[in-house]
Amino acid sequence: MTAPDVTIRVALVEDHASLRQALAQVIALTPGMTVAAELATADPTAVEAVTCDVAVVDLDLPGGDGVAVVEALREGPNRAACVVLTGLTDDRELGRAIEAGAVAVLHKSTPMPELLDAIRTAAAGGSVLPAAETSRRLRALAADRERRWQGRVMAEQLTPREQEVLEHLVYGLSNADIGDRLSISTETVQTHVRNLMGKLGASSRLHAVSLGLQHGLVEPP
Amino acid sequence: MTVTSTRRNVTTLTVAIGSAYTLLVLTVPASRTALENPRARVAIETGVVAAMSGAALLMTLLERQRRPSGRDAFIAALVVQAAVNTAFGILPALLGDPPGLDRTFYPWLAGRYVAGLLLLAAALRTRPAPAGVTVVAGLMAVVAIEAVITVVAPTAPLSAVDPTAVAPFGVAWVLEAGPLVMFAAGAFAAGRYAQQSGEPLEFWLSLALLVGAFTQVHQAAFPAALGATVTSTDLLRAASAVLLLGGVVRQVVQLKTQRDQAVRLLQSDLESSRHALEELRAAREREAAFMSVVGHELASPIAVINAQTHVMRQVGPPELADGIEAIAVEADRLGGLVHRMDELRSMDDVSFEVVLRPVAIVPLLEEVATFGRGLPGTHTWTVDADPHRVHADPVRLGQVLRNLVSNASRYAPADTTITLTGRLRDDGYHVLVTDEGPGLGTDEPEALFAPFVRGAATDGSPGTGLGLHVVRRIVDAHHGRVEFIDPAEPGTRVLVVLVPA
Repeated sequence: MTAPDVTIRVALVEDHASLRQALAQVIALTPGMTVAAELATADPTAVEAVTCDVAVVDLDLPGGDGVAVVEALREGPNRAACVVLTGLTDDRELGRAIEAGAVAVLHKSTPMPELLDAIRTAAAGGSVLPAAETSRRLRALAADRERRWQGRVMAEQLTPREQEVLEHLVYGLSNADIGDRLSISTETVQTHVRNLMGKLGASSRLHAVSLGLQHGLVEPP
Repeated sequence: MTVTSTRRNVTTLTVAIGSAYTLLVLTVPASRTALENPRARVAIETGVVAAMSGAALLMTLLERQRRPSGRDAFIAALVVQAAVNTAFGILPALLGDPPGLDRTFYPWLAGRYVAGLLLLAAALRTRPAPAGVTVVAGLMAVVAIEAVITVVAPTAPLSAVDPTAVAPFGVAWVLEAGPLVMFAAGAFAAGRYAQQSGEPLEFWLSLALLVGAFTQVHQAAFPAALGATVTSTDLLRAASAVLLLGGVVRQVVQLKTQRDQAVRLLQSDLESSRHALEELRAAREREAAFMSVVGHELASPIAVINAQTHVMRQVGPPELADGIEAIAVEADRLGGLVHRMDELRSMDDVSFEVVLRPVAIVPLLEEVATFGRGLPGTHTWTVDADPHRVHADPVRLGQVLRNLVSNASRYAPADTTITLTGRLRDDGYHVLVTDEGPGLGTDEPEALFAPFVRGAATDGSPGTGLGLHVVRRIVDAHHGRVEFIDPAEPGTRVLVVLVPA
């Protein structure tokens, strides 16, 4: 057995202490790898200070977002390759990590040999992202963005008063009730409702509420 | 007291009263005359006609309200009788020309024949023709008979012995026997039907026909007709008409009760299904939320166990090796479970989609066989498939087939053959995964497709009990079906039927 020429420096960004320690032990025991840093939070200054070849990053971190850590490490001086190891399964979250430059997205139940292989591949500049899953995740992310974007566009079209009226519509209030609460006349409320329905492209009050909820313009009651 | 026994008692009572009254009239002829009043004739005929028309009208409305029950003959009989009574009993009297015994005897007899035939048909629940047609035919028969009698001199000499009856003559018994037999047979048939079906109408019809049969005896003993004097014959006839009307009214009441009951049942059904649906939806949401939390919370502990067993494998004392392996296997199973739970949950997401497109099946089966050869186990893998394309999502279908071959390789003994066959059949493209293992050993393979259910012969082998459930869900999304063939036999055969492209 020949010793590897270069020792891979691995950083661990994981808030779960017992897991972080166990992973550190695994890395330490693996020939050709060494633990370069152990971080329990997404604290940017701590992340900046890390020098490593490969980072194993959890997405669900206190004090920040794992995706931001991936971005920071990718753009940092070391251009560290990032292996995401997470318990999250939401395609959109995983899509964000891939977009940020993660070269592997592994679930936490992945067996250790597989994780070690992924670290080696990442260190060698490769990627272990399966094509089908990756494209599905990126599509889910894109679809989500599209929805949010539409919501923002719609929200910008509404005047503050119309926005208020829509918020009251969610509670199923009548025009008269809304007028009472906003201290305006029922006719004015009616005008606002008509205008906001036009802007949202809604065919009824209920449709307006459903669109508002769908695009996140208003909170559910 | 049950309805049946009440009805039997009422029938017995009717027969008893009818027999006693008939016996009285036969032995004491003077008791036969009830009323000597020309107006009484009109009154009683009007009553009879009103009862019959009312019954016919109600019955017609009833028939129009729901699925026709084939009581056209019944309606027709009522209408014909009412028409004959009006034409020969009421109209002449109203026109100041009260009918004599001799002029009304034959028309009335003819009317009773026609009515007897129709009522017998009604009791037998035959449907000669729609009510309208039957009525026209019945009336035409009466008119025809009347015409014949008018043209040809009556065969039987009719002479009044007193104001209430014509002189008895031999052939009268024969003439009256016809309706008698029809009424009696009708009463029997209607009674039997009422007993079977519990319908009030037929029960009352049977009573009316019983009374009708007694009427015929009175009529034969003292041939009478629609004369000025009201006799026992007329009283019985009126009773019969009232019974018919009573039957129809009871039928309407029962129908209304049944309808109210049905509406109430329907309402409570709707209510309870709405509740059930709501509960189901809530349960599904709870289940999804629970699975999501469990999956997420289990992930880190599993990772810790994986990592620590990995460490212990390398640095642990050799005497712990078996124990460490056991932990590793269980952690692996736990990981698989979390993975499957997540798959299952994601299928309920809106984002779960199966994009179907024509996919060549043979390369896919070859690929799955290659996957099988890579599994632990020393099986021989063969693929034997008709080249064709199927409507499938290659990623999802691959997932299905890999799951099935994993199961096969897990349960089949070493050095046996696992076969993937593909055949184009009339009902779709059949993919069959066959192994030479012990088989399922169950008669209820459908249960294996439910979540968290595992087969009987699986002790100690890894598996989550979710695989086949996921398989079923994906195949359903392919508009296909998946099932076990001959589940009780040794060897397992899983059939996946897909839609050919």
